[in-house]
Amino acid sequence: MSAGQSGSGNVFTHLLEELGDHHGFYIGPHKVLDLPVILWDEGRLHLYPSTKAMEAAGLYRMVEGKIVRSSTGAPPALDLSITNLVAYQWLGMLLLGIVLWRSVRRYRRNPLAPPRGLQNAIEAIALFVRDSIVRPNISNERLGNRLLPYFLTLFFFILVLNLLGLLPGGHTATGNLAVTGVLAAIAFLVINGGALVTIGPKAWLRHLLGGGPLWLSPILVPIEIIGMFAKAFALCVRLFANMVAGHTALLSLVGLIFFFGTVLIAPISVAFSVFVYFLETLVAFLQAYIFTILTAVFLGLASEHHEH
Amino acid sequence: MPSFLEISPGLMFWTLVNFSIFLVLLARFAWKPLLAAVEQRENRIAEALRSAEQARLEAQQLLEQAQQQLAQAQQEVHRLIREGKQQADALLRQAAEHAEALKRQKLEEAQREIQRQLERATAQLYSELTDLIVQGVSRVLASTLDSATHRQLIERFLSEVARQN
Amino acid sequence: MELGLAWLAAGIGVGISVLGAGTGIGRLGAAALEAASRQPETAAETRTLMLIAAALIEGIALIACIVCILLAVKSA
Repeated sequence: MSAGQSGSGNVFTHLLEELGDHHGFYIGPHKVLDLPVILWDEGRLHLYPSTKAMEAAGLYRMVEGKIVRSSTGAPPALDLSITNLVAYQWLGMLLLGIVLWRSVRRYRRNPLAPPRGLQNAIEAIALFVRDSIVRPNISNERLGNRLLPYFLTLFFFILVLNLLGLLPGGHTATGNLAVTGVLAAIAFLVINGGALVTIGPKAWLRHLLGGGPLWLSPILVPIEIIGMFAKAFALCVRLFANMVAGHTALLSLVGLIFFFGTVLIAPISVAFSVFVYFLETLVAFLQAYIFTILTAVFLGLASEHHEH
Repeated sequence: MPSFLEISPGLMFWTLVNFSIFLVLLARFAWKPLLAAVEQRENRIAEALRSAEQARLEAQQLLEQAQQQLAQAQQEVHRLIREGKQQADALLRQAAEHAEALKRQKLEEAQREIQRQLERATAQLYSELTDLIVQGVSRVLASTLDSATHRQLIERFLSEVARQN
Repeated sequence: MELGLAWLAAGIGVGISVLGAGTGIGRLGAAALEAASRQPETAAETRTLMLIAAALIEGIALIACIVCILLAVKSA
């Protein structure tokens, strides 16, 4: 176990650290770009162009990848820095924005022309979201049409972030609980907000009874409320765990080489890695689809009138 | 706790900001024109299908009309041919009758003419005969008889003969 | 000793949760295939329902896996 144990943790733990968020733009394990540090602490905003500049200023310093106050060693009240995953979100938004802008330009020129090239792919996916995700699951057509931009944006946002994480050296923004948590929170608001607007507060409250008689409400209402949050929580964890699981599997397979300390294990590792990589490509699309369709299904269920 | 399980408020804040901006921008500049164009195209295709169906129905109607007209025309032709035949037959019959009538008329005329000629010839013959007889008798009887009185007698006799014939 | 127990618990836990999820998804897949072959005209709908159910099962399994990962990385 000489090669397996390095420093405080083992190889596995060490590699897992790579999946977290960092200050600065990383490709693989290499920092290629400094990103600004924004801190809100003690009632005022601190702006630094990079972590180096921040350390040079002396007020804060980096300890094991985290920013702490130099004087007390405590973390700042709020760290709003442009971190690696924020940069990856921007990158994904930029890429998707360029692709969409190029295809939409053609619609503006001639809306009736048949789609071509990338425009064709974008349109096919957009129509898939409209016809296979939103319309079959949300029976209220007006609600579906109004929320269609949200579902389209959600699908493409998750998809592009998933795929960016699959690029060699890319980091997966959707493999972070903060990111998926916010997406799930927005989905939670959309589901309940959409239901409230569509069926009104009275019917929405009646949904909390879960269709049971009134005397069962002490049991059913808490269950329904927990279920409401559990749905969003499951959305959050599912996306996060799927993204991380693939990466963890890849890292574990590569880690086997170092764990056993022999190159003989490499062919097996590489073969399995390639297999997992293909699986991850499938999962990248599948999870974008699952997140979107589950949001649509939950919204559809919540915004329907039930005769209990 | 490994770093990938940490939930950083900063990242949450930025994700919320990013997604909201992205949603607003895409909804305004990407999905609106895209969905509008797709809808326009779908409507156009539906319209084209509908008009094609209408055109097909119209064509069928026209075809039926044409077929009906053709059938009518054929009936008309049949009727005309039948009528023509009838007329022709009538004409033929008329012509035949006419010819028959004409023939009979001509025949009658001819017979009447022959009769008249015969009568005239007979009358002439009788008259000449009378004259000849009168001449002969007068020659024979010389002037014994008053020619006028005798002639009257003979003529009466001859007319009796003619009546007896 | 305590760390070793945590790792052991993580290993056993992940095994059991994978067993449950595997059984669930296996049964789901079998039922979906049967439904799709009995009524091929509703195969698309069946596939969507299957994916949704699979995602729900998978969600539970993944939550279990996270608990196990938390146990496994207790040393850090």
